[in-house]
Amino acid sequence: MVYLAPPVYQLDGSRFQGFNCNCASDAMLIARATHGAQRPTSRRIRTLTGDTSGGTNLRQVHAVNQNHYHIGSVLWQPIPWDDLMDRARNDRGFILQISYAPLANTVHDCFRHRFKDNHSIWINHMTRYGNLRGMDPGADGRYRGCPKGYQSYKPALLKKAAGMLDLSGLGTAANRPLGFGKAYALLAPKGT
Amino acid sequence: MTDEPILPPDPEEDDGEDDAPIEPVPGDEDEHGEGDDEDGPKSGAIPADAF
Repeated sequence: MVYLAPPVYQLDGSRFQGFNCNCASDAMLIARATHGAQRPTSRRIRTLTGDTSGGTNLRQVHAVNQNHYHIGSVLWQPIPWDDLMDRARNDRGFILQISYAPLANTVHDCFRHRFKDNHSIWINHMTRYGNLRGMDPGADGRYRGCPKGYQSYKPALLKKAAGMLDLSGLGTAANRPLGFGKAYALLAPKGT
Repeated sequence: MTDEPILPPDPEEDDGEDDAPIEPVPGDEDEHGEGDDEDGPKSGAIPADAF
């Protein structure tokens, strides 16, 4: 039976709350990998990265997992989307880096339709219906229409969002998309 | 010359299957990732009016 990591929300009042999607997602990866024995906060992960400006990347939280929690997460930059789905079918959880543009103005939007830059969400597993059960760190139900907790995503939507990840990380006209059919992902260890 | 009959090979003794390549199971290989020594893109900033 798959362990469902308890939701971790990024908008927690901390200094970097607007930048902590990776940190909140990683807190869920750690909970999943330890089956709840370790449940750090988004703020705690952020502190352990040592990064005191702007957003974070997957490599930073991967290092936190290895150095502070002794968790052997696996970083793919990139991984073919189909290979990632093979792992999801085998109940692997992972952090998926995406562009939020394809999710804005959908039922999944957690940011009042005002955010379209790079974001990260935690994917816990694939459902029996082939959807991805994921937790957007912004899904805290804080306004009417804002999702709260886990949602089921169509893989095609997240495939598109993953391929549109902006490798420039600038959120400007210099956008450099990763490419359709590829993803940047940090996987929880096998068998967790 | 001997009187022993010549028998066909025992199919269980050598059916060639041991030499067949083993197909990897997707997601089951020893996983090392890729590009894990590179800094990927950072996450964007959620604007305050989206809180």
